[in-house]
Amino acid sequence: MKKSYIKTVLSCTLFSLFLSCTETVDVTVPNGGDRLVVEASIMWEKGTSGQDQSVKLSKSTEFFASDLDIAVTGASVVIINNDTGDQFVFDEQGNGIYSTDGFIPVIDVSYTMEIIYDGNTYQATETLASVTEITSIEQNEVSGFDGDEISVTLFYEDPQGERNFYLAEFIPSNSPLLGLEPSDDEFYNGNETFIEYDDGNLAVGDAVDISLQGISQNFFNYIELLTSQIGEDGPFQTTPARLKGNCININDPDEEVLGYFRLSEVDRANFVIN
Amino acid sequence: MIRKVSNFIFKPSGKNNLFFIFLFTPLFFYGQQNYTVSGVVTDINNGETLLGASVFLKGTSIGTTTNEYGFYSLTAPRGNYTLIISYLGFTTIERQIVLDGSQKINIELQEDASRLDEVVVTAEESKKVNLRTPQMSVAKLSSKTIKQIPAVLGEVDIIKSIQLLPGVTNAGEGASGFNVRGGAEDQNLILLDEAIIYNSSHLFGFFSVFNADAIKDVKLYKGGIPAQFGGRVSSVLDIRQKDGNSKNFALSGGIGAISSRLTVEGPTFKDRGSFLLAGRASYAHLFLQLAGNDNSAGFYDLNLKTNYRINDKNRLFLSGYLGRDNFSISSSFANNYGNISANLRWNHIFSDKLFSNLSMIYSRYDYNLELVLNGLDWESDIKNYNLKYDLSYFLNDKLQLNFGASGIYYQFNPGLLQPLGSDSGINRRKLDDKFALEGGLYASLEHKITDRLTAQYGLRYSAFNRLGSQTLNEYQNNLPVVYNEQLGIYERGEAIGETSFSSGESIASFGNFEPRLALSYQLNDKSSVKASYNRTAQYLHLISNTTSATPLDVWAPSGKFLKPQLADQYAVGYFRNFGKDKYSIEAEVYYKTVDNRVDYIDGADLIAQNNIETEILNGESRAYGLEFLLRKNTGDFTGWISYTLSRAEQRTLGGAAGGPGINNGDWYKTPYDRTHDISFTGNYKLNDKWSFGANFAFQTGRPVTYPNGQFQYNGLSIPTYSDRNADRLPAYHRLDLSATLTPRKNRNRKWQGEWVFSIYNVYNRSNAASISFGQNEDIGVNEATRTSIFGIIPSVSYNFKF
Repeated sequence: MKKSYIKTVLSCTLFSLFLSCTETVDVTVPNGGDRLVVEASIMWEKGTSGQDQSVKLSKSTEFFASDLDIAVTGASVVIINNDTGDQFVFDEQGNGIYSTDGFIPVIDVSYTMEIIYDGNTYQATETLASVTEITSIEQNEVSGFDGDEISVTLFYEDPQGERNFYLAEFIPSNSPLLGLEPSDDEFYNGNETFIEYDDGNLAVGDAVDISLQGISQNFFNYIELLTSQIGEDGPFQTTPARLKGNCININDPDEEVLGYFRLSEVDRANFVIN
Repeated sequence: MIRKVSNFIFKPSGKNNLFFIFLFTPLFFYGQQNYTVSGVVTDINNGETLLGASVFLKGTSIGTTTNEYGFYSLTAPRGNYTLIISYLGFTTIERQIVLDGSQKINIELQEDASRLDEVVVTAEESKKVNLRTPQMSVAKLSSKTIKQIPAVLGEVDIIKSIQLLPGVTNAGEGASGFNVRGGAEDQNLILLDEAIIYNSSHLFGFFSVFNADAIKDVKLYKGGIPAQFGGRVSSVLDIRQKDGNSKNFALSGGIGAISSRLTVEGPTFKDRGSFLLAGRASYAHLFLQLAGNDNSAGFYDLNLKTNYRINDKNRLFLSGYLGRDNFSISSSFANNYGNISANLRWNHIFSDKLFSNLSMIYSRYDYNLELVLNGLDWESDIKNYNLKYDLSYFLNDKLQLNFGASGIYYQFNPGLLQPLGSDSGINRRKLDDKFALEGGLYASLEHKITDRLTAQYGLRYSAFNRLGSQTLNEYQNNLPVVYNEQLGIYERGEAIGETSFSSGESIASFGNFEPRLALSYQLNDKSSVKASYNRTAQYLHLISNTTSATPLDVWAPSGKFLKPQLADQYAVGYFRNFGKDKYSIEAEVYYKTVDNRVDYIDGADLIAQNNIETEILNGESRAYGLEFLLRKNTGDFTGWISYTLSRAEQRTLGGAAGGPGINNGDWYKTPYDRTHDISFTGNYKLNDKWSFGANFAFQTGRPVTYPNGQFQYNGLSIPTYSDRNADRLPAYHRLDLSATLTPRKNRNRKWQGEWVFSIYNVYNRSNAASISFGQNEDIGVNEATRTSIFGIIPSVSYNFKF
């Protein structure tokens, strides 16, 4: 269960109580300059070799910029297996995409990513986290704040006796925005549990691509802060904080590098609302 | 000195006066014979005691004010005097006395005739600034004044009313609590008949828990906090309930847009006492059912007060409060919370110079949350038992000594999480219960040094002992939070073991001397300057990193990892009455520092957190400002203008955890920082039938953190943030109006009614409660969304008295 859910529920209660209103407004925001963004999510889908992997490098922009996606070109990207020393070189494909078809994923093994760009070397280290299988997917009619809605719930068995961290991703066909739900087993260690997705607009015929990803505790902390800062609203929102990823410029450790390098085992499913 | 006083406290006896004479021998050398006049001042109509009424001897500088129980004591040399008793809104009484022996004079005051046909609450603040008393930084409002201020949905609200005074703000509509001189919500000691109220809000902050019909007097100490109070560093909100009409049975009440009220009061115990029972309940479901869904929300509260006069020297009081909020959203979510408190008091007058009060107080705050969908049931509470003994010794016309002791035992249940329903995947989990004992000893001497110069010297010693049973984590290098040099973030420390403490065993203890000093120098009949210093210690902390406190925030006691907050405040002020005392001006500047004010590491996880120490860093805060208040106290038009210019900042260094700290170790604005805060409140009485009220409020927007960019990640646009609280919401302002109609036919009838028509936020300003940044759900582009709560809201309520 995502804990900030509780605060979200409180806020919704609060606002549904009174004649509150929300409105899109023009706001002048500060500009912190463009920063390197590393989106390095190595996904090893159950039942595949996991050899095809890619990494995306981009630049951040000001919040209301017209072009939000600035590709970073001319970098070199390599990932090293810290146990064996094997190196996997990612080749530039254009548009900031770097990929390989020779990656070898191993559960619980530590990997280091090294990026050389613009004369600087960036490094990050992470361990490949395993994941349990999705056991079933259900759809439910739920009474939301604005009446009945359709929700999709994925179920899984949390392994006993160990701390596990999850990221569930829901990509609906009816919305440009995907859903990210981080979860840990703090409240339900060793039990069958679920993660629910409800974007308020799901209708019969819509499809949802679902994945359940195993993640490290460090990445869980990161993604939980990230998701709480994109979904929250109202007076119970947490003071926003700087999202610090794990990629460091070893030539200038004070440089702010956005994004994260992480490796996850993944179970995927597709579900159509009926 | 404190130790000796404490010995005395535990052996109270009226004949022990020699002790004090010994203690303060250097302070007075008297050859003359002195006598004492003492008694109680009450309202002739209903027998309510009057707090803060002024009693003095004409033509002398000998005078005093009545205490919380209406009691006064004056000592003067033998002679003939005129005793003058005055209280604003009441007719002043003069009485000739021959002081040739000590005597007891109880006085009944009559309300001013001109106000008789209004439906009024009897209490009235002594609005004229009391120039001589060293007490400063006090905001006082009577129940009557509060009722004249236009309120949202006509719901009279004490907490919202005090925010119209200088130095008091809050996070905006729909936010719990209030902030005093840049302090946090949890730094206010809120007392209802001396019982600690942990949450002062109904409906998450839309209304306050105090029913104005049951309240006699509201006093907010923003600084110069007297030694009798301790435990919070920013302010003390001292609210006293009415005792109940001891002359006649009376029924009063009102029907409003949100709630209805009913108060019954009258004499009891064969005229040896009186009672008051006041109830208020909202129309649950009202809004939500109109909105066409099956959600519900509502609150109620009950106030009880009764007293019994055993004899002239002994009187018992019993007060109680019970308040509750209930919410449910469809069948998926339910939440209820509330305060309950009870206080049994015994007033004992040892002699005409020594007044005492013993209080036994219980209070509790609890909440319950049910998330049906997640199968989670969550309960949490805090409760305390408080024994308190306060004495006032009126030595002579120059000296008054207040002293006493208190002990509070706390029990904290931060959370019990249980599965809800048979197919719930939740494991039962109990967060550690916590226990603590807080003790206080104080003495405070008010000393009239010359006719112009008066001083108040106070000292409080507070002690706090965190008790077992509890098991605490031991951390690597004794660091619950560590700085990760590589990632540049603060992380939870590694627990390497546990220490168990048995029941009643001391886990950590603290003791602090808290000196309090106040001086007033009267420049002339009309004006005075005052200065004060106080040190205060706070041992309980509300753990919250949301913009506004939520009912689910947990109170945590100081202990091994959480240090007591210590505040030092300095204030200087100028006070003046003018225009035949119709007007008064108060101007004050203050500077306040707080040590050990914690802040939360980025990404802190506070919900159901058993080890709060892994989420916090120890910091400090400072606040300074200028406050100005111009009041018109009498006449057909009354009201005030207040202005505050202030700054509140905090800094949180890495300390032992290493690293630069929060916000790179730089000072940053607290969420309670408001550069400008202006308010105007006015009430105009046109004739016996109509009166009108207006208030206008303007304040600088709340500090917030806006995004300084965005990046694309996982198919989403993610905002990036930098310095904490570096931006601000747009300024907050609004105008409210009200009109009160008292039909003429009411005049001579027993049943008296009035209609109150009000409009909140007249020009329908959309004040931002928050601005959030995100992607549009339909097209995915980035946008800023403002949430505002109350637009223009007209309402009507009807009040009656029988």
